[in-house]
Amino acid sequence: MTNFPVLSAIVFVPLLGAVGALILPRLAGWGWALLASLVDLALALLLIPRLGTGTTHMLALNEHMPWLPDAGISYTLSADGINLFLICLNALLTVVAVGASFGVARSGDRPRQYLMLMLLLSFGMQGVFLATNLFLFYVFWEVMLVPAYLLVGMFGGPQRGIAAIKFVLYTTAGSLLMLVAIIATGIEVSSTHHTAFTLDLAALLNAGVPGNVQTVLFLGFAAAFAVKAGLFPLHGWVADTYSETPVAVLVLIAGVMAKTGVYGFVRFCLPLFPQGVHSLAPIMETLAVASIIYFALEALVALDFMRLLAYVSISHLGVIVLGIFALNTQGIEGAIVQMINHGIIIAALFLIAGAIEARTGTRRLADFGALATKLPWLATVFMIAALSALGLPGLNSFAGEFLAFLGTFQSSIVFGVLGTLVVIPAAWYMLRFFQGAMEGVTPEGGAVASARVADLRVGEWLPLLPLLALIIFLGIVPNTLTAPMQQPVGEIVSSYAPATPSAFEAPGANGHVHVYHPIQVQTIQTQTIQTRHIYVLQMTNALASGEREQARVGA
Amino acid sequence: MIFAATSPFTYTPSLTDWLRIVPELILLAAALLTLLADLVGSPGRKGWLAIIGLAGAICALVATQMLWVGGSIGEAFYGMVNDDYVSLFANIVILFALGIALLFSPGYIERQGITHEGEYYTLLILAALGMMVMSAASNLMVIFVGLEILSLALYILSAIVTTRRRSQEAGMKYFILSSFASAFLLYGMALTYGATGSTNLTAIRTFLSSHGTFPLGSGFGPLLLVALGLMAVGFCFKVSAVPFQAWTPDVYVGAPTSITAFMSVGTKVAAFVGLVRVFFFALPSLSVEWQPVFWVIAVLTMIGGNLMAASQRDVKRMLAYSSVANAGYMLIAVATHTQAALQGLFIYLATYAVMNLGAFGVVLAIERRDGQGTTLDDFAGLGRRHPALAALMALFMFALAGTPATAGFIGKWYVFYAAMTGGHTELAIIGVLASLIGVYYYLRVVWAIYFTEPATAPLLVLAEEPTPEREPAATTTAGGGVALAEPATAAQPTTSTKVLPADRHTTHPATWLGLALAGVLTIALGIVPMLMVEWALAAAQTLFK
Repeated sequence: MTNFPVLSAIVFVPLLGAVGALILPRLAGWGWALLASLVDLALALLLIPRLGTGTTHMLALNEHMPWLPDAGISYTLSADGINLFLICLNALLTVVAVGASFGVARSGDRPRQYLMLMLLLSFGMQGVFLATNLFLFYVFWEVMLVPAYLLVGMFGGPQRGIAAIKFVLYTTAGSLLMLVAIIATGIEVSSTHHTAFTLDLAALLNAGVPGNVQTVLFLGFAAAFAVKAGLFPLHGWVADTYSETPVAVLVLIAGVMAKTGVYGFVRFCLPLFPQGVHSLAPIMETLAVASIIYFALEALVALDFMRLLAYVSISHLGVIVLGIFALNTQGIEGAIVQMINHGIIIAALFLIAGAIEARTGTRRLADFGALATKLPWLATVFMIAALSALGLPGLNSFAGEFLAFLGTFQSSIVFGVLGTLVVIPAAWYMLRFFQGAMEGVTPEGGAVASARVADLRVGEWLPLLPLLALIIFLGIVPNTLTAPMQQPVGEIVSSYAPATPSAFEAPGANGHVHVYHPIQVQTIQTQTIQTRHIYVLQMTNALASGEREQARVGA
Repeated sequence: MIFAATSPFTYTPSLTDWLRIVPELILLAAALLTLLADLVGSPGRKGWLAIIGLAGAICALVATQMLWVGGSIGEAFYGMVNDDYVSLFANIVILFALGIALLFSPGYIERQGITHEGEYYTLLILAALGMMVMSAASNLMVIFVGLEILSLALYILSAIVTTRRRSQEAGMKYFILSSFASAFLLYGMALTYGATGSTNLTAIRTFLSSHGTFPLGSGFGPLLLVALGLMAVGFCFKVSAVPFQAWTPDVYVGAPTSITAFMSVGTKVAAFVGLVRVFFFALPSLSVEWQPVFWVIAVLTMIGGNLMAASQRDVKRMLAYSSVANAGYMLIAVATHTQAALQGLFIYLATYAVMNLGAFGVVLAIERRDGQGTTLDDFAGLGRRHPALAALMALFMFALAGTPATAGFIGKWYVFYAAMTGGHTELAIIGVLASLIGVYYYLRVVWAIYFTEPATAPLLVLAEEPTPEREPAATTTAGGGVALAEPATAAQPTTSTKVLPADRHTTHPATWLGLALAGVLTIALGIVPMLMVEWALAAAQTLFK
């Protein structure tokens, strides 16, 4: 079991699913896609016992294979407490999205391409979450964009072409700057330490990025991540794209893809560029607060509930960014927990919005009223999701947001206060949406008055049920999510401890230096294809904290 | 050696000399064979000429491979040609391009009604031969001879559709402008000879390095500077760099698409190899002088090419401007002037070849009989009409846009990486920003293919030129006996001169084969480029000393 390349399997099972979905006819293809995404989910869930003990280090589980060694490029996947649940989230939401696409598979337009692209998107996102070689990460980062572009453009609303190209241009502009920053990171590290050019995250962390270039490099990475997270003022694509995209696809784009940006901050920017992050954290916090408040206000005045949800989504992503750049344990843990919760809630909300639109044929809020009397179940589900979104204690979103805000308060009262202000408009816009649609009076002669009144069907229940269950379950036992990430987050935060500000300029000079062993620790040869080997590597000494090299030079 | 001309000179080529140019000899034989074979057989049934050419290309490729692996390589014919890893790498790319172009040809010739098939194939093979000679040359004169072989063949090939005015115009334009550029190049070479006393690249290199870094004050310095400028102009014209790009769109659009596909790739390879042989190998001691020139040209070309491509609605014309833009990325490598940059340039040439051939191949497959039908409107809804062609075009567009896991990204990665290690981060940044414009216009094609529906009204043929009479005849013969029985088809000849729907034809199997090859390689070079990277490194090491 230990030498089975489980991380690679998690990445490539959706690709298998995509191939099958393209070849097989409608329902068989759908079944195959669903099967592949379920297998992927099972594989991801099996990682929880291995990594969920709370003591595994950052980059604990690795798979490594040389790719273009001369250029520092390797195929390296790593999992730890930080990306563990994001992998699960992606797998889960893929299942949900494929499940919600039954209608398309049965009688929709181009079902095979639709399902194939959906699974390709899932494949790219699993790769993004797992890749820890910067080149490989960039490959998956862009590979994820291709199916997203095609899905929006092929299956979206009337303005889909514009929305799709806007989406691609925005994100590519960021990605290309990141590409330059990736190369520059490798060059700076290799030239400073006179080592071979490498892009493996573990090797870069061990060597340490020189302090004087960290700010610039951070900005390059941040460009790509901020665009993907829809951070103010780089959010221009979000509302247009979300309002043109089919709902099942939105489950993946809003639920998972938006997280890749904030995940990138935690995985790459924080450990690699502590000084740069430290000096620019106030700016990032300001942008996060601006996002939170500005998008909340946009959500308040939105006339169309798809746009409303789009702004809700990026407003809450602002909370995540705020938590990350608090640069303390609570903040970062809260942010990661909130990535999961946000994915679950926003997926549920978009599915519900889709169900409402499918019944009424409209998404203008002014057209709605008193739907709850016609659709009691839908109203109930909507109520739960909406309450969770506005952060009601006892539902999943509360714990994450609370932690994130707690961390923010600890680092800065001003940002804490400003960020927490969002609670007011959040309650307002969610209830405005809920009450406007579900309660009150139906506008006379509108599309809603004459709408079909069937409540949620089985096909709509099934994708929603796991999400609802998680909303409630994670609300009751929120520490399920925080336990595995304590150790890796602690390692990230240790570089921001006030006592050792210069630890990263010259590693080993003073302070703690963690040594990550992605390659040398234990190699189990699983497969020999001519000269190439797949090595599955494991950090066997992870449990013994004495093995963590805490070098305190100069004592 | 430099003053060898003063005494009576004799040189007897040995067997080794001949062995080192076996790929070129095979191609020459294939060219002559097609010329002879054209004498037999009836017009319109000359598809097997392509097979002869293809066999020649494959044999030459095998010979190249054998030379690479185990053959004795080095200079041949008294230092006239140099059979090194550079020329072998170039041979592989050029022969691959030739093979794909030959696969594209039969279907295209049939549809376009090109009458001079024998000449077409012979000249196509000779053009490839010229490219190989040019990239193997280690003497300024041989570079020029190679350039002229390929150019003369391409002038004629551009104008070979005798019934189409645009094709004639392309040939004429190419001939006049290119001759002008050749003259610049030749004059530059003559001045170099005047300054250094030799046309042999090694001799020039030795002469210059023995005269310090830059012998400006030594009397022949200004001469050399002018020579440098003139040769830069000549080469930049051939690689279609801004501001010498004006001929490119007209020639690329006017020429038959199979020829455009070939020359957009092959000429670039030959011209860039010639360029780096002259500037990197022979004139490295003057790099302080020529590097800034190429820096400026690279920036102009990247920005100009991409901006001009972004405003095109004709995909063929867009690809012509995109070839200008891609020359800009390659010029980054020239301006950087390191071994890694040279490796990046070779990788870029190879990756650009596969995806650009593929892109032109799809354009060729949907082009109508009158040479029209390649605008974005004609691509609209291709995803439903021709799913396979559409998927291939999308692949090539994503590749040209530089999406990872395709060949296009590997090329861009190595060039940008080399620019940054070579201390030209600004070129890499300008490059990525310029390629953002590229993303827009390449993905607009994908937009047309998948996100829009075809125009409902049949597209009318514009009265640009008289429609050849054989077209209706071709329609009926292609339709066969069954079709003739139907009254609707019988009425076709009268209407088909006016109205030609975009998709009333099938794609030739050979064209499919070529497209599939290009498609597979576009993905393969994106995921497993190790071998190509290794070869490019070997080539770069040979040249960059």
